[in-house]
Amino acid sequence: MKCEQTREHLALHRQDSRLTGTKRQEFLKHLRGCENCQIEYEGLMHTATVLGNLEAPTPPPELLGNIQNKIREIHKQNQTAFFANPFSWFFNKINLDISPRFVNSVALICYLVVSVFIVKFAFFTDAPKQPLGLTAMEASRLVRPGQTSPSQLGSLKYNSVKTKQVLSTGVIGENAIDLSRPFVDSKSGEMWHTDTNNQDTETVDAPYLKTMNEKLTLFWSGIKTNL
Amino acid sequence: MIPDDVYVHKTVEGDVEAFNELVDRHQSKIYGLAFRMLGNAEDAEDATQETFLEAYKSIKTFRFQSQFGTWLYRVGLNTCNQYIRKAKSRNRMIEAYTEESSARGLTVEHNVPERKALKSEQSQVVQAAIDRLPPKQREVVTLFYMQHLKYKEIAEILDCSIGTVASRLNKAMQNLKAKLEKYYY
Repeated sequence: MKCEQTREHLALHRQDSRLTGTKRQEFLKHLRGCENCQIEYEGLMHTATVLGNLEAPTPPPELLGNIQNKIREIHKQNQTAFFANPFSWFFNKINLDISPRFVNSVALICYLVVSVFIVKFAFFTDAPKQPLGLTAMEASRLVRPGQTSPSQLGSLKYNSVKTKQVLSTGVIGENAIDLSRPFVDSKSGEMWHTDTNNQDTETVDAPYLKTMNEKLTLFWSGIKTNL
Repeated sequence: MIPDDVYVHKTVEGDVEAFNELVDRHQSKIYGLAFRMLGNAEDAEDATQETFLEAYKSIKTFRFQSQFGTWLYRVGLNTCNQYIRKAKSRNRMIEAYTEESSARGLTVEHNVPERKALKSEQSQVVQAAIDRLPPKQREVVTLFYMQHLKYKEIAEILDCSIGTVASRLNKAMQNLKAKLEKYYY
């Protein structure tokens, strides 16, 4: 064994698991015969002794109490973590290490979606469905006697069977039709009459609109007051 | 004596005082490690506190495959290495400031309170030599000579082979001998 190889194991030959059997015997043989390696060995042993004799630093007495108090604080925070940020709490619970920025963004989006739903249900519940375009126009014109108009938008007025319709005829000559008289569908045999804005008619959706208007007025006045 | 694992189980179940018992048991060792790794009492205190807080937060990740003490050493070493990285950047700033100050004819004294923490001259010299070791060598020297751990335990903490530990320790000793021989020989 040469000096270089010997010095690889010199510092720790007693504990070195790489140095066993014949390799160890060769190492010891070289060490006994080589003066330079002996000097090096003595120097290393002295360094090891100096290191081993170093006093263990004593922690300051208040350190233990400080750490224990901090741990208790964290424990308290963990107990209320669900209420502070449920998303963060959930991710921690399933041991998912996600960046706080991402967790907060997800939380914000969810809060916004929930808020929109809450506002919708608070102010726009049971809103009437409004037919669009030609369907709405047709539905508003022809109403079966004794029924509410299928178009909630075009026929807020309710026509009773007995209500007398005040009508005008818009066609001149032979094709003139008296719109004041109901007409019968030849195919289905159903009777129809026109839906007009008569003062005798009764408003069906007025209470709903009134309540909604009140709610909206209250809502906006609340916002103005807060601002 | 109740084994550490019992307290770890209790901590996972929500018993904060069980973890405080573990703090009581291990704080001296972790403080010693931090002191030797960082070279000053102030940083050692902060690193010790941070180590235990980090251990408490991540105790659910402890799988009982090693001893709690070994796992705690690993957390402690990670914390110390973070401090060393921060200190390096801080030193660069101080050096830059010193150069700037000397250019203006000013002088800056730093590390004075840190050095006051070391009592004897011998300790100061040895600690200064340890501080100048590369972090990986500093780790093995601290764990082997100051914490009196075995090769196998050190290898487990550092997540490397026993051969690597021996090799690093050998290099560290050569370095230390070179740094200390002018004082002792």
